[in-house]
Amino acid sequence: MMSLIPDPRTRPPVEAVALPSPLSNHAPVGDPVLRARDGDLDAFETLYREHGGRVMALCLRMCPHPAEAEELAQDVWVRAWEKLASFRGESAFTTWLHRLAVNVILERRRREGRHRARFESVAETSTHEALPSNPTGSALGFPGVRLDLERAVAMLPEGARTVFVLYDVEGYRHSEIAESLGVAEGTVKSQLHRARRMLREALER
Amino acid sequence: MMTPDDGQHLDPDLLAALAEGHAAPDDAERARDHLAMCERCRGEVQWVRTLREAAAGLPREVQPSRDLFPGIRARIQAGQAPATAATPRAPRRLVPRFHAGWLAAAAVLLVTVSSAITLELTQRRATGSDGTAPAAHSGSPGPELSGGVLPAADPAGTMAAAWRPTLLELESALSRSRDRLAPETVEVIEGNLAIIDQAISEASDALARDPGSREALQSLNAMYATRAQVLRQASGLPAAPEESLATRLPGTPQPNVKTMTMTMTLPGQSASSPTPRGRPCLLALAAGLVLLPAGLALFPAGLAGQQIRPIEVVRALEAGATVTLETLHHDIRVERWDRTEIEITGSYDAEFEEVITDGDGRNFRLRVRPLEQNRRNRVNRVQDPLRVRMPAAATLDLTSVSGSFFVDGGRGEFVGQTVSGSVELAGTFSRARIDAVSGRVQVLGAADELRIQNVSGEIRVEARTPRVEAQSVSGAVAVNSGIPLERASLASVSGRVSLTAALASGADISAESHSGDVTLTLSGALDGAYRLGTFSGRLRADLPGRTGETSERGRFTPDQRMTFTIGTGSGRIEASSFSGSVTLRPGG
Repeated sequence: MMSLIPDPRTRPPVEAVALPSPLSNHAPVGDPVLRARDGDLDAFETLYREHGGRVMALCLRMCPHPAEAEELAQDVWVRAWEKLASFRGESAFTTWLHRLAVNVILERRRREGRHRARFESVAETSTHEALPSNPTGSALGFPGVRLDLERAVAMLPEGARTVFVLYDVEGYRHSEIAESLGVAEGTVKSQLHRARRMLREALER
Repeated sequence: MMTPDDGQHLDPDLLAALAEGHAAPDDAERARDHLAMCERCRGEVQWVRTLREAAAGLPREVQPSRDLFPGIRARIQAGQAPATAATPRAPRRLVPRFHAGWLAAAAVLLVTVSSAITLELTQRRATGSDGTAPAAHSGSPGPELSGGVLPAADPAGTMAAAWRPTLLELESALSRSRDRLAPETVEVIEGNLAIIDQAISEASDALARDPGSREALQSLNAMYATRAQVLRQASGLPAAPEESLATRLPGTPQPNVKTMTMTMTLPGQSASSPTPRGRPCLLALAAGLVLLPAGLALFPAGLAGQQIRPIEVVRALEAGATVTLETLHHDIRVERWDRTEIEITGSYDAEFEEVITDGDGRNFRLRVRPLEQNRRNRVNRVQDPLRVRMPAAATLDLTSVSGSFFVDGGRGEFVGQTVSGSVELAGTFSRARIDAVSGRVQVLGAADELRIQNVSGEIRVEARTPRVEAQSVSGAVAVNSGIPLERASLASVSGRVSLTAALASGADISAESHSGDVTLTLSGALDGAYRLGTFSGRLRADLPGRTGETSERGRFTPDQRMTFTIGTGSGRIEASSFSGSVTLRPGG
């Protein structure tokens, strides 16, 4: 059972987030993974207990509506169960799971048909758009900054938020994000600039 | 590259590369001079660094507001595909909803049978069905086993043995919490278990007569999975609320800790989750209700003087706000108006319950809940509904145990959960999700997406909706979509399933029942690949333009299957019933 509030100091240093496998903890393919792959649901529950918080964090950031994010997280785990047979142990389980989670989330969004429209509508990055309000008034660098950032990220438009979360929080590469989203790398970069600019406006106001 | 956007500043890509520390050495060198002079570009680089540090410092783990695993386990065991199941156009089995469960069962059966044979061969000992079969949940998510499964001498017995450990465990869990369940909840649960048991016995009988029937085996496994799911939900308790409070992301209403702790025994357990969803959650609701002592209703009326007080709440709401209402017994009637505030009126018994509002104009919540100290010895006698008037675009989330919902008008999202209440929804919603147990669910108007789950109640949809998912155990499911239907997944165990719709091009439709008839009245883009199946019912398809029609019967069983294609076959339409008739006919 992991602690309720994870210690942010356990995060890798900033440089490390640019690695392609952000969640890789080089954990060996342990017993639960093999047992779950063989159909042991209790072992699968062990995996859930161990990694559920990470999946939930990703779902919540990609989709800031808590109930929807929980539903997404469940989808991720059901899909993980279905796909576990294809896990060959070539990457860490966490990496595999994380990628699967990203795919499930993006897939759902595509299915809901919102994704493309949002992406197309924001490609031009208007200079006047701003987040609704300053979340708390305190700026980065002060206590509580993480909470403010979390809140401000939640308020970003979906396209900008997706790219920001995948790139600056989760550490995927531009090219990987572009491929997952089915858009050009330039679009990913402009979304990222846009997200960063909007966050700055929101947090420095 | 140093392409100044207005002749003075660095290119945003270069600024980002500098901040992230992966600018090419040449570029970094050339940028250095500019940065030394340009405060704006320097500030930009510094900002991106600071932001990335903060981003990297965000918690990597967040706990959900409740334990999600019971729901995950239930879905895995029930073989329910994830809501996102977007496996594009792969050939699909006949009974989609229980597919994985079927495979798991087939795997279990295979394992069981193989082990039996192995035992037989190695120990020359007869195998008994004494519950020693492997647990049902040891089914593998692995490769398709269809066709590879050896017919067991007693498939129904083998299946029962395979499920026995899981079901026993769940039943004992339920019996431990049974005395905390309100009698009416026990009644609902038991009534529904009886329905499922009836289905189990029918499928077992059929399998005893025709051991090779895949349809029967499939249905039997689905029924066991459903039974396990109902038991699990009825006995499951939600995660401790303190956990969810401690780990919530900001941006959602933060009720105070005291409130949260007390809310533990309230329906829905949703203090920390403004829109709890899904049937697991609903039955958690039933289980929550359950924590209310059964003796509550026995308290002699009139012993304590009633203190009926009015509820009058008016709050301004922001555009796109979420409104959450939770109550134990009130009916809730919602009307929409063109003002920007919400108005809630009604009454409550102050001696028994209290009204709590929290949140802000973005997330507003009102709860009526029993007072902690009075929970064991007071009964509410207020009969008035809560009347709500609110802006049409706001998202609405209603939870009640015995109350019904009547919602008229609306444009936002709707989420409703009730155990014994019914739900009537009319309006134009972006998404509507309804979970009920024994109440009737009726949806009129329109919704971009509808998801309805019920246990013993009927589901009736007469709404313009392109996507609908509706499941009931013993209730009938009837859907009439007034606009081209893109996706539908309809299922009932003992109820009729009927769909009347004009199909959109490439529609994905599945309709199934165990003992009820399945009737699809279709018009519009009929182009598609059709599959029909039944064990002992009749199959009939009167649609025009059918090509490549095949009709087969099981060699040793009454199983029937029919497949055909209309046009290029871009849509997928599947309908099956175990003992009912399956009829496809052209609509007007």
